[in-house]
Amino acid sequence: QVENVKLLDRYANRKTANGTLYLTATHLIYVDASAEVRKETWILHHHIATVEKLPLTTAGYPLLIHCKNFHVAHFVIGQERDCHEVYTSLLKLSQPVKPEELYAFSYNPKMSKENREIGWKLIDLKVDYQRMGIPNDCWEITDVNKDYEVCNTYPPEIVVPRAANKAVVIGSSRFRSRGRIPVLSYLYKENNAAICRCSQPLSGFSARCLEDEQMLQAIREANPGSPFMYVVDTRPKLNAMANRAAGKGYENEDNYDNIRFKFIGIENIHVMRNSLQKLLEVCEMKSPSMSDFLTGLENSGWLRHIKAVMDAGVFLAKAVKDEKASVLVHCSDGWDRTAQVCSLASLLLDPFYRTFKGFMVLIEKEWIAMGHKFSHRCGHLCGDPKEVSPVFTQFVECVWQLMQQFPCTFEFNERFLLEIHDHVYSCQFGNFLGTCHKEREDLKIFEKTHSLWPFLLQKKQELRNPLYKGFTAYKELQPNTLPFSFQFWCGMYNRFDKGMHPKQCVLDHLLNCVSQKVKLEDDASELE
Amino acid sequence: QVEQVKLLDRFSTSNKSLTGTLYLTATHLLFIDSSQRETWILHHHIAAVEKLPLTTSGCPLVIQCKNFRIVHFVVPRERDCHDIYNSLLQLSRTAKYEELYAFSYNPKQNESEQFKGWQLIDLAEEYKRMGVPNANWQLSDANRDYKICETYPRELYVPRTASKPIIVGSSKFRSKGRFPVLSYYHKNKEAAICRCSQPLSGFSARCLEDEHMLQAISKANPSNRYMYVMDTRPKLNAMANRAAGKGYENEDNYSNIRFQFVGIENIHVMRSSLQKLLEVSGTKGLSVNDFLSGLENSGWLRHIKAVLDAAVFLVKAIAVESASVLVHCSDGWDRTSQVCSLGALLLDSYYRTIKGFMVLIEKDWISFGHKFSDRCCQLDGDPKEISPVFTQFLESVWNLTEQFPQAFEFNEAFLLQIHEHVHSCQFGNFLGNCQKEREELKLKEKTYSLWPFLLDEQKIYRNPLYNPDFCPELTVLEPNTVSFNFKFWRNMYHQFDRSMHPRQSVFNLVMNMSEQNKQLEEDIKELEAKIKRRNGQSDAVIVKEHQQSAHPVPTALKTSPCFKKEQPLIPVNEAVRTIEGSNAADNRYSEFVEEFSKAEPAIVSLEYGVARMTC
Repeated sequence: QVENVKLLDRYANRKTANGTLYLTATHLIYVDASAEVRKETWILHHHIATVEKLPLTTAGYPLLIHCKNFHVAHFVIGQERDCHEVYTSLLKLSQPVKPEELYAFSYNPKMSKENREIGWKLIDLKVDYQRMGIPNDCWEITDVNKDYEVCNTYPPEIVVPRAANKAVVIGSSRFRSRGRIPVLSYLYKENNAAICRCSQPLSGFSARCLEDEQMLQAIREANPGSPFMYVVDTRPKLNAMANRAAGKGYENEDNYDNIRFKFIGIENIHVMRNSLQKLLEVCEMKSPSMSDFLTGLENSGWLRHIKAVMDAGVFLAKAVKDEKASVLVHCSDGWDRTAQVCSLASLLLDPFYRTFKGFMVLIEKEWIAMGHKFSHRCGHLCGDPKEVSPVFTQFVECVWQLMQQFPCTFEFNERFLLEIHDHVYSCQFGNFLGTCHKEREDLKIFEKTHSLWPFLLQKKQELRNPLYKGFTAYKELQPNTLPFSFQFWCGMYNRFDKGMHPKQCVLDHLLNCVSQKVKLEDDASELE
Repeated sequence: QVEQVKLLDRFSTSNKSLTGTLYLTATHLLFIDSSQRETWILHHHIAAVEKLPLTTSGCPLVIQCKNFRIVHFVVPRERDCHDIYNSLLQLSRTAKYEELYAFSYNPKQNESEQFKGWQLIDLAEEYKRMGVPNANWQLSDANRDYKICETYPRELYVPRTASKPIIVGSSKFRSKGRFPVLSYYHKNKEAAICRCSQPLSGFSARCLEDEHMLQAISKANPSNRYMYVMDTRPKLNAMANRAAGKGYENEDNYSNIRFQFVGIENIHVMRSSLQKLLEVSGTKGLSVNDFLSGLENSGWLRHIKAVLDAAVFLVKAIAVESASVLVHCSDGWDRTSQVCSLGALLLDSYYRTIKGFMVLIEKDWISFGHKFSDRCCQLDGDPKEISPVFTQFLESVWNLTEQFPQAFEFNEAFLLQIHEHVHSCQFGNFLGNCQKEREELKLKEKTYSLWPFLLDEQKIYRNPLYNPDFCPELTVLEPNTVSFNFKFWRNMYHQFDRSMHPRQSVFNLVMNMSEQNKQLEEDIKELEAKIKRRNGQSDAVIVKEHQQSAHPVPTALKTSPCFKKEQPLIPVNEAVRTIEGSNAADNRYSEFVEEFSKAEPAIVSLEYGVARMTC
């Protein structure tokens, strides 16, 4: 507990508030003493990305805290010893070493055991496959990976073509980086075209694998409507070529029957990490001129990357819907860019994924189950900083950009996205811990922690989109990806700078209107 | 009439085109495609016609309009193309006012309706609303015959202490005779926004009458000893003007003035900035980086920010310091109009209504002689006089509507429609350069006023989110002018590129919803009345119950539904306690609570009636 601490506001020129800083086991709490209304700022230790001591000023010792949810807090502490103590304890607390130290294992929302189990069963991927019509004549759910023998980063149950027998699956898995074989991600029921995902082939300069070729053939033949299938490598061509030297690479069109190969050129995790870093530097400028802002935004390249991801999603959706062709997507390991692109394409194709429940299913399916390495990418534990990358953040932003273009097609609103984004980093719920399904089982996540989804569903009222027109109003979306259509997302990157936002909240107003309408209708019918 | 003409879409990647017939009428260029859809282009809207090199499919013709529509025709025969080109060139450049569309436009109104239309906006009434004339300000008849200043209106409001000799003397010391007059009077603060042109001070000249004039303005505001003089030009430009015998006020010569440069660029910079912006927005196959760097290079948003910053400065001077402000630029009809009108818009909620916005444009733009004719190139004239000054004003207003979606009675379509008609020359309001010229043209007899037509259609211009309770009279808006808040106005610059817009229009949906709500509320009232009548007193209890369920709803909703909910999980000791930060699922939620619990008292307690909403 440190008293007489000042919290500086980034944009306001008002005089700074005086208050007290408390350090609890899980949170850093700042209580503003000067205001009439008791104002508290809570910062979860897991949200802290960096803590920085700045040079001494006349007012005291400044301490700058950057959070993973883009909150930036600037404290000024009166005494150096206090400042140093806060600094070192925050450093320790914000970087847990063992997974057992994460908040999720101590978080206790006073919920009975049965309710917890029900919570974890809320999202059942099998139901979603059933919804797509699987199993059917061409596709089956196989338990070939039940002991994680084929691929330890895949879930135990995967969907593959019926025509691909166990030998083909295992043969193919040996030819794919980390054994991530082609599996089904989404089946477009109307014309049987499928989106499949995998990792890069271990083709090097000339290697080939018969089973892998059979696997692709099986996928193509599972869709009788099209004589060919697309294989999409989401990496820039140069990166893919470079990988050949390491015995990896991409599919050779000559070796596979009737495939159309295409590069899309989304940059890798390191480029994305730097890009976000630059974007945040722009956000942090105190009073940037118009030119500074626009140049900074351009230099960061962030919106360019968002557009690249979106373009890829649109390409997939078009191939499936208009050309009726199946698509196989991969990047290097098939858990970053592939997850982005597959989930976006599903979102564009299927209105179910634009509902609360559907969006949860989508994240569970494409991201959590298929082994997007949340723990590494979000830096949950003290680890390699080069593994951290805002891949999931980009996906969330793409969805937000879609919301701007299609304000009536999503059941949820911006706050739902922000809420999910917060909890990906908060480690308060078990869903996003670990890197793959196997690891989550080893950690006993399902017994020891809670699932996020039931908590979000409870708050449905304030997270829903008042303009939503219902499930059947729109089917496939065809977004415009001209550069004019991409905006800087103030609500995400400057979320905690209160002064930056539109002074009046339309969302609340509309939510009120809707609930008012419901109430009025009830009243009217009652009166009648 | 030319057949088999193709219309190309500017942005579609596939080279799809519509084939149809092109007609040339006296006032419009009309294109009807094979599915009978019509595209009308008014000749007055045409800014440039260009013949591109011959292609295999025919002779391409690109027409750029002043409302940022760009159409790309392909005419199969070169002779036809040339004919169209020549006639369009001729038709789009009018030499005389009498040839403008407004003089031939006939909306089938009789004379009295026409007369009434022109009476709709009455500036004398508007000054009365502001509270002038009063003890300190009076109506001056000095300019009754346009003898003192040709570009001002006949009726001007000046401080009571400024006698006629002072006015005459001051006007001789001001460029084009545009001496300081009242533009807006703030009732509660007794502070005024005045406007004029630059003084003819050169390097050392001074004028006693002008100094008296400023002193009179300053004295007319009893609550403050000093006044601001805002020169909206960059300092360098103002200094350069001194060499030509013009310049700016010397703080030593005037008692108790605070002089301030604001630095809005001149009309030529603005014109080329817009030119660059249009080049960027017209490029096909642009990458995100090209777009952003193009947007930055054009400097357009920087200029918009400068204009808004100036208005914010002005508003602070009046609302916070209760000081009067005198605004000028060079001639006091471009930047001065922008800043004065935006300042008034921020200060006075009346101007944020549909009618009030019309009044504002009539007052600060039309009557004070913004040179619409020259700036919008209504007649064939000097291309260097063209500048998007009024467009910038509309864009600034649009930016404000984005920040305060509930403060304006009108929506984006209203702004776009006004912009359309400023260039269309279909109505008399914007013709000519000043009131004197308009009187000479007999516009009031020969043409129609735009405003009654807009009022007739006001349903489509209404903002469904408008909440007049948010803005009691004289509520000051405090916009945030950090550069993150400025956006490219797609609906203005790509108004006619259908494929560019968000695919779903929220507007109608929200409109319907608010209408349904109103309807339901009425239904309920009716039903309640019926029940009451039928049941008499025996069932009074039930009726009461219904009333309780029906009526508190609207009032409670104006604040927030979550305001009254309890906060789960956090042990609450204090009565009022707010939490922000990254705590937990539950705390994001209480953050909303916090914002509302703060917003509520803020409205009531703020001294100047400044409503600050923090969400």
